[in-house]
Amino acid sequence: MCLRLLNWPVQRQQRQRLADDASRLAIHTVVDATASSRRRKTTEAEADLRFVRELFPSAKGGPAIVCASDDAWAAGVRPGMPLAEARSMVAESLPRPAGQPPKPTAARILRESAAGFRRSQGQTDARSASAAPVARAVPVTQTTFREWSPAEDRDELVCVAELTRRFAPVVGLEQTPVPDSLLLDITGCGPLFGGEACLAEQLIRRLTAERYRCRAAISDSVATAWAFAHAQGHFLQTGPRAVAGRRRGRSVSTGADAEWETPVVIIPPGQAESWLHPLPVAAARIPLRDTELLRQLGILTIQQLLGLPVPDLPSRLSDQAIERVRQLQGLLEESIVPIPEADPVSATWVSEFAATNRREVAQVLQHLVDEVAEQLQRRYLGAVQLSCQLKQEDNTTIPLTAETVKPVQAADALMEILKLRLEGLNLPKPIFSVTMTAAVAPLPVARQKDLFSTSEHVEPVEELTAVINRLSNRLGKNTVLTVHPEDNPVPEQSVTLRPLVDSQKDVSRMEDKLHDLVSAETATESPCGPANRPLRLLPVPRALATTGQQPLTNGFFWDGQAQNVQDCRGPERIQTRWWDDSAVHRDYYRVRTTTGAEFWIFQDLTTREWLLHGIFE
Amino acid sequence: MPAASSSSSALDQLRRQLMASQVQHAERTVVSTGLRSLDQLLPQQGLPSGSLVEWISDGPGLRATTLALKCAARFLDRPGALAVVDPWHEFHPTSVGHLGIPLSRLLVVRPEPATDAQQTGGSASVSPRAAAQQSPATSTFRSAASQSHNQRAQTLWAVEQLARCAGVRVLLTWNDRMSATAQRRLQLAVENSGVTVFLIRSSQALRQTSWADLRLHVQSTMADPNVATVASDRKTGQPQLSEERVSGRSRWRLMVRLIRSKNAVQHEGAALLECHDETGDVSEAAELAGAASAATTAG
Repeated sequence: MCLRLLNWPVQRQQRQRLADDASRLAIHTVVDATASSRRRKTTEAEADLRFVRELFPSAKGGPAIVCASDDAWAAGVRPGMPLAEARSMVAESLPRPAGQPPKPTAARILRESAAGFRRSQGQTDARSASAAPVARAVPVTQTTFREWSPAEDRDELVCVAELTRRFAPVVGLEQTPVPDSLLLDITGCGPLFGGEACLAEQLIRRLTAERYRCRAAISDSVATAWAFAHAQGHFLQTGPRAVAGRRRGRSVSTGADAEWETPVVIIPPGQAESWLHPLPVAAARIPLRDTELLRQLGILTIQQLLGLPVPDLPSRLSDQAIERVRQLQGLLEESIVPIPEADPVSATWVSEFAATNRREVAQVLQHLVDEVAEQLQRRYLGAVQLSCQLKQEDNTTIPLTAETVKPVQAADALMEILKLRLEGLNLPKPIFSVTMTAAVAPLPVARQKDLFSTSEHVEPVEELTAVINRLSNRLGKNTVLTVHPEDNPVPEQSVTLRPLVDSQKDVSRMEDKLHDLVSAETATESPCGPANRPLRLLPVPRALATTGQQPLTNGFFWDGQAQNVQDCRGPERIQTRWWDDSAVHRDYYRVRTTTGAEFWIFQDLTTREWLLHGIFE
Repeated sequence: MPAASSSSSALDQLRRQLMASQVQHAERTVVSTGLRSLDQLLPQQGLPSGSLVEWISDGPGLRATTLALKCAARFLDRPGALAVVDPWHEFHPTSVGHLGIPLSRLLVVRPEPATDAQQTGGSASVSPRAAAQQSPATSTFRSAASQSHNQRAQTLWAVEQLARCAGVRVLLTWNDRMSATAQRRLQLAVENSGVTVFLIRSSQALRQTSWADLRLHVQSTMADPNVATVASDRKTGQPQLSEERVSGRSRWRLMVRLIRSKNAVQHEGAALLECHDETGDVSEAAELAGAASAATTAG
């Protein structure tokens, strides 16, 4: 889910009543550089400022408007407008005594002369055409201008994240400049609230009660959810007009006739791509430079963008833009960077009597695990990761992290995997304090294990989960792998082995994977890939030491022994596109030696070298 | 009466304690290998679940692993994963699907040696693959010396953990150096869990003590090229000349001998199998298929 807080910088300052008259508020970039240097600066805040300057070139030369409230917008204040011009425009719209002509400000003189020149040339000024009538129609008495503080905007968003914790186990901040949205991983949480629509409505109601104005979009991926929440693009590019119609739509929109301005938009699973088609390119989160280039090429909608030939994209678009396109297509996964909890599940042990050996440390950990398990039980949550900081007498800390495949609440199970990690830990000095923090997730729905049996019955999935927890924690999570076939003729790339325990902690996906591993229903799965490939493939093909020029007739050396070739079968030519940097041109032969052993050797057609690649074990 | 009742309750308690102390063996079933000649060779006409089976290969490239995987596929009609502990990081599962094993049922465990970084909570490690690249002078890939003691211990631990897990149906691994104690532990584990462990070993293992329920020796043998073989066509059922003979390719066969079964019973006889050139599938040898069809016709 993407939860968008509408016109966020303005909304934040309005909520905090930083403005005297909060309804007519405009936010602008810094006026006094020396004063701004005293403000708290972060890397993200600097990136935000760079983004604003890229979006509004007028902000490079001096203070400029970043965003404006509805009333300020009605008064003619627009994002990107220089602050001086905005001030003068507001001054013009103030009520004047009868008969007094408007004060001829420099900005107005310049604007009117420019407009007059354009009229004489037969052009129209879109900005003045849209802004001027509104300014005349809605006389505004006073507009407050406030300085923009991106760091504080981000901090407040993190505070909003705390309000959403009840609805999603993982809440993160969107990773774009000048964020106005929170990303919530609500996978599997819908049934707890009576469905995803109810979840979203309850969430919106909760935030509305706190005087937040927001909108939510639920979709299969982060990229598509963001796109539907920002149907017109980044909020700085659109302004408050884009959200003005939010009150007219239904509260929840799920059909094909959905209005993007409704508070909740839910895209049915698997239909995101077709729904994306009419949205503008700006909703794809691609960099401004790429958006401009696409506009020049006449590509205005996501449908046109997704229709571009994939091989041509790298030559035209930036890497980030290509990444965004792949994320929209669902070809590239995007993880939510979680915001750390303000009130985490944690426990601490401090003592003046140090734990001097592994057994004592294990006892301390047991004590902390019991405490953490109790907190988890109270909150109806499970731990997916336990992070411990073991502080030594010289104030240095040793990290100890244990992960679980699925959320676990039981202290015994948590302690078991923690002990496995502790076994491999080097503890050179006594430990004086230990802090344990749990990354949490909702517990999976309990399944009835056995209806009639009185004895305790454990399902194969549960057994496998426990053993994978142990293996991943003792050997490392990259050692427990599942097989994924690839559509690639190069033998070493025809399958990939991926860690079963992924970093995304998608509980439902993990459940599916585990179920597939043990399910007898998959026994009829049709095979894919070429038949009769060696079961032992050398990760790096080895150059053959031959007894003559031609190993197919003269034999070769392997394992320190001469292998005399009795017969061979081939060649099987495997080659990839010549224009690739890592192009492959090989002729493979299945060679049987006089001892009956069968090897898979090939000749590299580029270097004419003979190499051994596999053994038919 | 009170004395009698107290003694009976004590007996009941003792009985309960005795039952609790006994190892509850998992239900054992016999699974056919799908190869008639091999089934006939085995004491129970198939491979028992919850057993330790050694496949001894005379050398590399003799298809012992292919044969073991083909037999493992027959176990997957019941819930449970096929776990492969691959200490050498060379297992390539592309063609496994053609042996009847769904890739979604395959769990590969590749233990890596612990390093200093891993000791301190990091994740960097040196795989055997990288080690092999770093020391190209090492000629033997699977020499025990190239595997560190730590990695051997990790591999053995992983094998034992998986062998104890009822969520695993079959476990396949390669291990030439396994002590009798480790084998005994493994045997007890599989008896308890019902997991079937296939241990692929080289002929060096023949000199070692074995706790395996079955020890099968896979050898390669060349059939007499002068004997014309007739096999029935798969589609039409019409007799035809063996494909190898037609193509002129030498006729190599796999000969599987049962060296030992549980309780050290010695066995005679061998199963003759062949590997299809195109599919890599292991099947009955053509002579046997021809003989069988002839016998059926005569009958």
